[in-house]
Amino acid sequence: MDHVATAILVGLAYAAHGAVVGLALLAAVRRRDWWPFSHYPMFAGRAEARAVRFFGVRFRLRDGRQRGLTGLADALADPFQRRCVIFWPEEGAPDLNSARTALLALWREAGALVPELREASAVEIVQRTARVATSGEIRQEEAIVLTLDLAAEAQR
Amino acid sequence: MSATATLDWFARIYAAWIALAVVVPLPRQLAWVRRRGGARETPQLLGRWPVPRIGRAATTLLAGALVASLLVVMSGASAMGAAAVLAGGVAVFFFAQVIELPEVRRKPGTVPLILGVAGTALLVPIAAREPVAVSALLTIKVIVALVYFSSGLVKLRNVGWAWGTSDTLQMTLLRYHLRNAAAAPLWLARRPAWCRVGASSVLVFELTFWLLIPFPALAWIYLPAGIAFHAGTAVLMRIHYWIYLVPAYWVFVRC
Repeated sequence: MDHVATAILVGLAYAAHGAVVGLALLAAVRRRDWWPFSHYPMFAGRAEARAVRFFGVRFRLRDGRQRGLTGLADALADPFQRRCVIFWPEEGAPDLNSARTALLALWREAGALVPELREASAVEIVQRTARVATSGEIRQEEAIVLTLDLAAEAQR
Repeated sequence: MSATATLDWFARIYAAWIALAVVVPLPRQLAWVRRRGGARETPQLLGRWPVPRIGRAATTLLAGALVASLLVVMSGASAMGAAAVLAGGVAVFFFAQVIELPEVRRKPGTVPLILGVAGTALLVPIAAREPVAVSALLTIKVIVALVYFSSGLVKLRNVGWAWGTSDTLQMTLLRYHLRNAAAAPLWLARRPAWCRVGASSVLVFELTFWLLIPFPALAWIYLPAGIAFHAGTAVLMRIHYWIYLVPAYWVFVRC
Protein backbone atom coordinates (compact mmCIF):
# COMPACT_ATOMS: atom_id res chain seq x y z
CA MET A 1 0.00 0.00 0.00
CA ASP A 2 2.84 2.37 0.88
CA HIS A 3 4.41 1.64 -2.46
CA VAL A 4 1.20 2.59 -4.24
CA ALA A 5 0.89 5.85 -2.29
CA THR A 6 4.53 6.69 -3.00
CA ALA A 7 4.11 5.92 -6.69
CA ILE A 8 1.05 8.20 -6.83
CA LEU A 9 2.94 11.04 -5.09
CA VAL A 10 5.92 10.61 -7.42
CA GLY A 11 3.63 10.63 -10.45
CA LEU A 12 1.79 13.73 -9.23
CA ALA A 13 5.10 15.52 -8.60
CA TYR A 14 6.42 14.76 -12.09
CA ALA A 15 3.09 15.79 -13.62
CA ALA A 16 3.13 19.08 -11.68
CA HIS A 17 6.73 19.82 -12.71
CA GLY A 18 5.98 19.01 -16.33
CA ALA A 19 2.86 21.16 -16.32
CA VAL A 20 4.70 24.13 -14.79
CA VAL A 21 7.56 23.90 -17.30
CA GLY A 22 5.11 23.54 -20.20
CA LEU A 23 2.97 26.48 -19.12
CA ALA A 24 6.03 28.61 -18.35
CA LEU A 25 7.46 27.92 -21.81
CA LEU A 26 4.15 28.70 -23.47
CA ALA A 27 3.79 31.90 -21.44
CA ALA A 28 7.36 32.93 -22.30
CA VAL A 29 6.94 32.62 -26.04
CA ARG A 30 3.24 33.30 -26.62
CA ARG A 31 1.15 34.32 -23.58
CA ARG A 32 3.06 36.87 -21.54
CA ASP A 33 -0.21 38.01 -19.95
CA TRP A 34 -0.83 34.66 -18.25
CA TRP A 35 -0.87 35.30 -14.52
CA PRO A 36 1.04 34.11 -12.47
CA PHE A 37 3.43 33.39 -15.35
CA SER A 38 3.33 37.03 -16.46
CA HIS A 39 6.53 38.83 -15.65
CA TYR A 40 8.08 42.20 -16.10
CA PRO A 41 7.87 43.79 -19.55
CA MET A 42 11.07 45.79 -19.00
CA PHE A 43 10.43 48.44 -21.62
CA ALA A 44 10.29 46.17 -24.59
CA GLY A 45 9.38 48.90 -27.07
CA ARG A 46 11.68 51.26 -28.86
CA ALA A 47 11.86 54.91 -27.90
CA GLU A 48 11.48 56.70 -31.23
CA ALA A 49 10.92 60.18 -29.87
CA ARG A 50 13.68 62.25 -28.30
CA ALA A 51 11.32 63.55 -25.64
CA VAL A 52 9.33 61.96 -22.83
CA ARG A 53 6.32 63.32 -20.98
CA PHE A 54 5.04 62.56 -17.53
CA PHE A 55 1.75 63.79 -16.09
CA GLY A 56 1.91 64.28 -12.36
CA VAL A 57 -0.89 65.25 -10.01
CA ARG A 58 -0.34 67.95 -7.40
CA PHE A 59 -2.77 68.65 -4.58
CA ARG A 60 -2.69 72.08 -2.92
CA LEU A 61 -3.66 71.74 0.71
CA ARG A 62 -5.38 74.53 2.65
CA ASP A 63 -2.30 75.11 4.82
CA GLY A 64 -0.23 75.88 1.71
CA ARG A 65 1.54 72.52 1.45
CA GLN A 66 1.59 70.53 -1.78
CA ARG A 67 1.31 66.77 -2.11
CA GLY A 68 1.81 64.53 -5.13
CA LEU A 69 0.60 60.97 -5.59
CA THR A 70 3.94 59.34 -6.38
CA GLY A 71 5.15 57.61 -3.26
CA LEU A 72 1.83 58.30 -1.55
CA ALA A 73 -0.64 56.39 -3.71
CA ASP A 74 1.38 54.91 -6.56
CA ALA A 75 -1.39 52.45 -7.37
CA LEU A 76 -3.50 55.43 -8.46
CA ALA A 77 -0.74 57.56 -9.95
CA ASP A 78 0.46 55.19 -12.65
CA PRO A 79 -2.94 54.35 -14.21
CA PHE A 80 -3.87 58.05 -14.11
CA GLN A 81 -0.65 58.97 -15.93
CA ARG A 82 -1.55 56.51 -18.68
CA ARG A 83 -5.01 58.08 -19.02
CA CYS A 84 -3.48 61.55 -19.24
CA VAL A 85 -1.31 60.47 -22.16
CA ILE A 86 -4.59 59.80 -24.00
CA PHE A 87 -6.24 63.04 -22.82
CA TRP A 88 -3.26 65.08 -24.03
CA PRO A 89 -2.25 63.58 -27.40
CA GLU A 90 1.08 64.55 -28.91
CA GLU A 91 -0.80 66.21 -31.74
CA GLY A 92 -4.25 67.77 -31.65
CA ALA A 93 -6.40 69.32 -28.95
CA PRO A 94 -6.56 67.85 -25.44
CA ASP A 95 -9.76 66.26 -24.16
CA LEU A 96 -10.17 68.60 -21.19
CA ASN A 97 -13.71 67.51 -20.27
CA SER A 98 -12.68 63.88 -19.85
CA ALA A 99 -9.52 64.94 -18.03
CA ARG A 100 -11.58 67.06 -15.60
CA THR A 101 -13.99 64.18 -14.89
CA ALA A 102 -11.11 61.75 -14.39
CA LEU A 103 -9.29 64.18 -12.10
CA LEU A 104 -12.35 64.59 -9.90
CA ALA A 105 -12.76 60.81 -9.66
CA LEU A 106 -9.06 60.53 -8.81
CA TRP A 107 -9.43 63.13 -6.04
CA ARG A 108 -12.24 61.09 -4.48
CA GLU A 109 -10.26 57.86 -4.69
CA ALA A 110 -7.10 59.50 -3.40
CA GLY A 111 -9.05 61.07 -0.53
CA ALA A 112 -10.18 57.60 0.55
CA LEU A 113 -6.55 56.43 0.66
CA VAL A 114 -4.93 59.60 2.05
CA PRO A 115 -7.48 61.48 4.19
CA GLU A 116 -5.64 64.81 4.14
CA LEU A 117 -6.18 65.02 0.38
CA ARG A 118 -9.93 65.34 0.98
CA GLU A 119 -9.23 68.78 2.40
CA ALA A 120 -7.21 69.96 -0.59
CA SER A 121 -8.26 73.34 -1.96
CA ALA A 122 -7.14 72.63 -5.50
CA VAL A 123 -5.65 69.90 -7.63
CA GLU A 124 -3.65 70.32 -10.78
CA ILE A 125 -2.16 68.16 -13.50
CA VAL A 126 1.43 69.01 -14.18
CA GLN A 127 3.00 67.96 -17.46
CA ARG A 128 6.73 67.44 -17.11
CA THR A 129 8.77 67.04 -20.27
CA ALA A 130 12.37 66.02 -20.77
CA ARG A 131 13.81 66.56 -24.23
CA VAL A 132 17.17 65.39 -25.57
CA ALA A 133 18.55 68.09 -27.86
CA THR A 134 20.67 67.24 -30.90
CA SER A 135 23.67 68.39 -28.88
CA GLY A 136 22.84 65.67 -26.34
CA GLU A 137 21.85 68.18 -23.70
CA ILE A 138 18.72 67.28 -21.71
CA ARG A 139 16.20 70.09 -21.30
CA GLN A 140 13.29 69.90 -18.91
CA GLU A 141 10.02 71.82 -18.82
CA GLU A 142 7.07 71.85 -16.48
CA ALA A 143 3.62 73.22 -17.21
CA ILE A 144 0.30 73.11 -15.36
CA VAL A 145 -2.17 71.86 -17.94
CA LEU A 146 -5.31 71.65 -15.80
CA THR A 147 -6.38 73.09 -12.45
CA LEU A 148 -9.53 72.29 -10.51
CA ASP A 149 -10.86 74.43 -7.67
CA LEU A 150 -11.95 71.68 -5.31
CA ALA A 151 -13.83 74.03 -2.96
CA ALA A 152 -16.04 75.06 -5.87
CA GLU A 153 -16.42 71.45 -6.97
CA ALA A 154 -17.43 70.39 -3.45
CA GLN A 155 -20.24 73.03 -3.45
CA ARG A 156 -21.74 71.72 -6.71
CA MET B 1 25.42 16.95 -1.75
CA SER B 2 22.37 14.93 -2.84
CA ALA B 3 19.46 16.57 -4.65
CA THR B 4 17.22 15.66 -1.71
CA ALA B 5 19.44 17.55 0.74
CA THR B 6 19.87 20.46 -1.67
CA LEU B 7 16.11 20.82 -2.18
CA ASP B 8 15.56 20.68 1.56
CA TRP B 9 18.19 23.38 2.09
CA PHE B 10 16.85 25.57 -0.73
CA ALA B 11 13.22 25.23 0.40
CA ARG B 12 14.00 26.34 3.95
CA ILE B 13 15.96 29.43 2.90
CA TYR B 14 13.42 30.37 0.22
CA ALA B 15 10.48 29.94 2.61
CA ALA B 16 12.09 32.05 5.31
CA TRP B 17 12.84 34.87 2.84
CA ILE B 18 9.37 34.88 1.27
CA ALA B 19 7.76 34.80 4.73
CA LEU B 20 9.62 38.05 5.49
CA ALA B 21 8.65 39.48 2.10
CA VAL B 22 5.00 38.80 2.93
CA VAL B 23 5.04 39.99 6.53
CA VAL B 24 7.06 43.24 6.27
CA PRO B 25 4.77 45.14 3.83
CA LEU B 26 1.57 43.54 5.19
CA PRO B 27 0.50 46.44 7.50
CA ARG B 28 0.79 48.93 4.62
CA GLN B 29 -1.06 46.60 2.27
CA LEU B 30 -3.85 46.05 4.83
CA ALA B 31 -4.27 49.81 5.24
CA TRP B 32 -4.61 50.08 1.47
CA VAL B 33 -7.23 47.29 1.32
CA ARG B 34 -9.15 48.83 4.23
CA ARG B 35 -9.30 52.30 2.68
CA ARG B 36 -9.80 51.32 -0.94
CA GLY B 37 -11.92 48.25 -0.39
CA GLY B 38 -9.43 45.96 -2.12
CA ALA B 39 -8.29 45.59 -5.67
CA ARG B 40 -10.63 46.80 -8.41
CA GLU B 41 -9.28 44.43 -11.03
CA THR B 42 -9.47 40.67 -10.88
CA PRO B 43 -6.37 38.70 -11.79
CA GLN B 44 -7.25 35.71 -13.87
CA LEU B 45 -5.34 32.47 -13.61
CA LEU B 46 -3.87 31.77 -17.06
CA GLY B 47 -6.02 34.63 -18.34
CA ARG B 48 -9.12 32.52 -17.84
CA TRP B 49 -10.19 31.83 -14.25
CA PRO B 50 -10.74 34.83 -11.99
CA VAL B 51 -9.23 34.64 -8.51
CA PRO B 52 -11.85 35.58 -5.87
CA ARG B 53 -11.53 39.14 -4.55
CA ILE B 54 -12.82 39.76 -1.09
CA GLY B 55 -11.91 43.41 -0.57
CA ARG B 56 -11.82 43.08 3.21
CA ALA B 57 -8.73 43.81 5.25
CA ALA B 58 -9.51 40.97 7.69
CA THR B 59 -9.55 38.37 4.90
CA THR B 60 -6.36 39.75 3.41
CA LEU B 61 -4.72 39.70 6.85
CA LEU B 62 -5.85 36.11 7.34
CA ALA B 63 -4.48 35.06 3.94
CA GLY B 64 -1.17 36.89 4.46
CA ALA B 65 -0.77 35.46 7.97
CA LEU B 66 -1.59 31.98 6.67
CA VAL B 67 1.01 32.21 3.88
CA ALA B 68 3.64 33.48 6.32
CA SER B 69 2.78 30.81 8.94
CA LEU B 70 2.93 28.00 6.40
CA LEU B 71 6.27 29.30 5.15
CA VAL B 72 7.60 29.42 8.71
CA VAL B 73 6.43 25.83 9.20
CA MET B 74 8.06 24.95 5.87
CA SER B 75 11.36 26.55 6.81
CA GLY B 76 11.64 24.88 10.17
CA ALA B 77 9.57 21.73 10.55
CA SER B 78 9.16 18.33 8.99
CA ALA B 79 5.80 18.80 7.20
CA MET B 80 7.53 20.87 4.54
CA GLY B 81 5.81 19.44 1.48
CA ALA B 82 2.22 19.97 2.59
CA ALA B 83 3.07 23.41 3.98
CA ALA B 84 4.72 24.44 0.70
CA VAL B 85 1.84 23.29 -1.51
CA LEU B 86 -0.72 24.98 0.75
CA ALA B 87 1.37 28.17 0.97
CA GLY B 88 1.59 28.28 -2.81
CA GLY B 89 -2.17 27.99 -3.16
CA VAL B 90 -2.98 30.58 -0.52
CA ALA B 91 -0.29 32.89 -1.96
CA VAL B 92 -2.23 33.04 -5.25
CA PHE B 93 -5.31 34.22 -3.33
CA PHE B 94 -3.35 36.62 -1.10
CA PHE B 95 -1.42 38.37 -3.87
CA ALA B 96 -4.64 38.73 -5.88
CA GLN B 97 -6.07 40.92 -3.09
CA VAL B 98 -3.26 43.47 -3.43
CA ILE B 99 -2.36 42.99 -7.10
CA GLU B 100 -2.87 46.67 -7.95
CA LEU B 101 -0.08 47.83 -5.67
CA PRO B 102 3.05 48.56 -7.73
CA GLU B 103 5.16 46.56 -5.25
CA VAL B 104 3.07 43.46 -6.03
CA ARG B 105 1.97 43.87 -9.67
CA ARG B 106 3.58 41.10 -11.77
CA LYS B 107 6.34 40.63 -9.21
CA PRO B 108 5.53 37.60 -7.01
CA GLY B 109 4.40 35.36 -9.88
CA THR B 110 7.25 32.92 -9.36
CA VAL B 111 6.41 32.44 -5.66
CA PRO B 112 3.39 30.08 -5.97
CA LEU B 113 5.09 28.25 -8.84
CA ILE B 114 8.30 27.60 -6.91
CA LEU B 115 6.43 26.67 -3.73
CA GLY B 116 4.22 24.27 -5.67
CA VAL B 117 7.15 22.62 -7.44
CA ALA B 118 9.23 22.27 -4.27
CA GLY B 119 6.20 21.18 -2.27
CA THR B 120 5.14 18.38 -4.59
CA ALA B 121 8.68 16.96 -4.44
CA LEU B 122 8.87 17.31 -0.66
CA LEU B 123 5.61 15.37 -0.29
CA VAL B 124 7.33 12.27 -1.68
CA PRO B 125 8.75 10.00 1.06
CA ILE B 126 12.45 10.60 1.50
CA ALA B 127 13.42 7.08 0.38
CA ALA B 128 11.98 7.74 -3.09
CA ARG B 129 12.63 11.48 -3.27
CA GLU B 130 16.04 11.77 -4.96
CA PRO B 131 14.93 11.67 -8.64
CA VAL B 132 11.91 13.86 -7.89
CA ALA B 133 14.16 16.37 -6.11
CA VAL B 134 16.38 16.48 -9.22
CA SER B 135 13.27 17.22 -11.28
CA ALA B 136 12.10 19.93 -8.83
CA LEU B 137 15.46 21.71 -8.78
CA LEU B 138 15.63 21.66 -12.57
CA THR B 139 12.05 22.96 -12.86
CA ILE B 140 12.77 25.85 -10.46
CA LYS B 141 15.85 26.77 -12.50
CA VAL B 142 13.77 26.76 -15.68
CA ILE B 143 11.12 28.99 -14.04
CA VAL B 144 13.74 31.59 -13.08
CA ALA B 145 15.56 31.41 -16.41
CA LEU B 146 12.29 31.87 -18.32
CA VAL B 147 11.45 35.05 -16.41
CA TYR B 148 14.53 36.66 -17.94
CA PHE B 149 14.39 34.88 -21.28
CA SER B 150 10.78 35.93 -21.97
CA SER B 151 11.67 39.54 -21.28
CA GLY B 152 14.67 39.40 -23.63
CA LEU B 153 12.61 37.60 -26.25
CA VAL B 154 9.87 40.24 -26.31
CA LYS B 155 12.54 42.92 -26.85
CA LEU B 156 13.94 40.95 -29.77
CA ARG B 157 10.47 40.51 -31.24
CA ASN B 158 9.47 44.16 -30.85
CA VAL B 159 12.71 45.88 -31.75
CA GLY B 160 15.38 43.30 -32.59
CA TRP B 161 19.00 43.37 -31.53
CA ALA B 162 18.95 47.14 -32.03
CA TRP B 163 17.18 47.42 -28.66
CA GLY B 164 20.59 47.11 -27.05
CA THR B 165 22.08 50.00 -28.98
CA SER B 166 18.96 52.20 -29.13
CA ASP B 167 18.12 55.15 -26.90
CA THR B 168 15.32 53.22 -25.18
CA LEU B 169 17.09 52.94 -21.83
CA GLN B 170 18.02 56.63 -21.84
CA MET B 171 14.42 57.68 -22.48
CA THR B 172 13.13 55.19 -19.91
CA LEU B 173 15.47 56.65 -17.32
CA LEU B 174 14.23 60.13 -18.14
CA ARG B 175 10.65 58.96 -17.67
CA TYR B 176 11.51 57.62 -14.21
CA HIS B 177 13.34 60.83 -13.39
CA LEU B 178 10.18 62.78 -14.21
CA ARG B 179 7.97 60.31 -12.35
CA ASN B 180 9.98 60.04 -9.14
CA ALA B 181 11.80 63.40 -9.18
CA ALA B 182 14.94 61.31 -8.65
CA ALA B 183 18.47 62.44 -9.49
CA ALA B 184 20.11 59.04 -10.17
CA PRO B 185 18.21 58.21 -13.41
CA LEU B 186 18.91 61.71 -14.78
CA TRP B 187 22.61 61.30 -13.97
CA LEU B 188 22.80 58.10 -16.02
CA ALA B 189 20.52 59.43 -18.80
CA ARG B 190 23.07 62.21 -19.34
CA ARG B 191 25.58 59.52 -20.35
CA PRO B 192 24.06 57.96 -23.50
CA ALA B 193 27.07 55.74 -24.20
CA TRP B 194 26.77 54.19 -20.74
CA CYS B 195 23.03 53.72 -21.34
CA ARG B 196 23.75 51.79 -24.54
CA VAL B 197 26.32 49.59 -22.79
CA GLY B 198 23.80 48.98 -20.00
CA ALA B 199 21.00 48.13 -22.43
CA SER B 200 23.19 45.74 -24.44
CA SER B 201 24.31 44.06 -21.22
CA VAL B 202 20.72 43.66 -20.06
CA LEU B 203 19.71 42.08 -23.36
CA VAL B 204 22.62 39.62 -23.31
CA PHE B 205 21.98 38.83 -19.64
CA GLU B 206 18.29 38.13 -20.18
CA LEU B 207 18.75 36.00 -23.28
CA THR B 208 21.61 33.90 -21.92
CA PHE B 209 20.73 33.47 -18.24
CA TRP B 210 19.46 29.95 -19.05
CA LEU B 211 23.09 28.90 -19.73
CA LEU B 212 23.36 28.57 -15.96
CA ILE B 213 21.34 25.36 -16.22
CA PRO B 214 23.80 23.33 -18.36
CA PHE B 215 26.85 25.24 -17.07
CA PRO B 216 26.41 25.79 -13.31
CA ALA B 217 29.93 27.20 -12.98
CA LEU B 218 28.64 30.34 -14.74
CA ALA B 219 26.86 31.19 -11.49
CA TRP B 220 29.94 33.19 -10.53
CA ILE B 221 29.19 35.52 -13.44
CA TYR B 222 25.40 35.46 -13.75
CA LEU B 223 24.30 35.68 -10.13
CA PRO B 224 26.33 38.83 -9.33
CA ALA B 225 25.19 40.23 -12.69
CA GLY B 226 21.56 39.48 -11.77
CA ILE B 227 21.94 41.12 -8.38
CA ALA B 228 23.53 44.17 -10.05
CA PHE B 229 20.67 44.26 -12.57
CA HIS B 230 18.02 44.22 -9.85
CA ALA B 231 19.95 46.71 -7.72
CA GLY B 232 20.10 48.99 -10.77
CA THR B 233 16.36 48.84 -11.43
CA ALA B 234 15.66 49.34 -7.71
CA VAL B 235 17.87 52.42 -7.43
CA LEU B 236 17.16 53.99 -10.81
CA MET B 237 13.50 53.10 -11.31
CA ARG B 238 12.28 52.03 -7.86
CA ILE B 239 11.24 48.67 -9.30
CA HIS B 240 11.74 45.97 -6.72
CA TYR B 241 11.58 42.60 -8.41
CA TRP B 242 14.54 41.44 -6.35
CA ILE B 243 12.35 40.90 -3.31
CA TYR B 244 10.63 37.87 -4.85
CA LEU B 245 13.13 36.80 -7.51
CA VAL B 246 16.58 36.98 -5.93
CA PRO B 247 15.82 34.39 -3.19
CA ALA B 248 15.24 31.87 -5.98
CA TYR B 249 18.90 32.42 -6.97
CA TRP B 250 19.82 30.08 -4.13
CA VAL B 251 18.79 27.18 -6.36
CA PHE B 252 21.80 27.96 -8.56
CA VAL B 253 24.26 28.34 -5.73
CA ARG B 254 24.77 24.78 -4.60
CA CYS B 255 23.04 22.69 -7.26
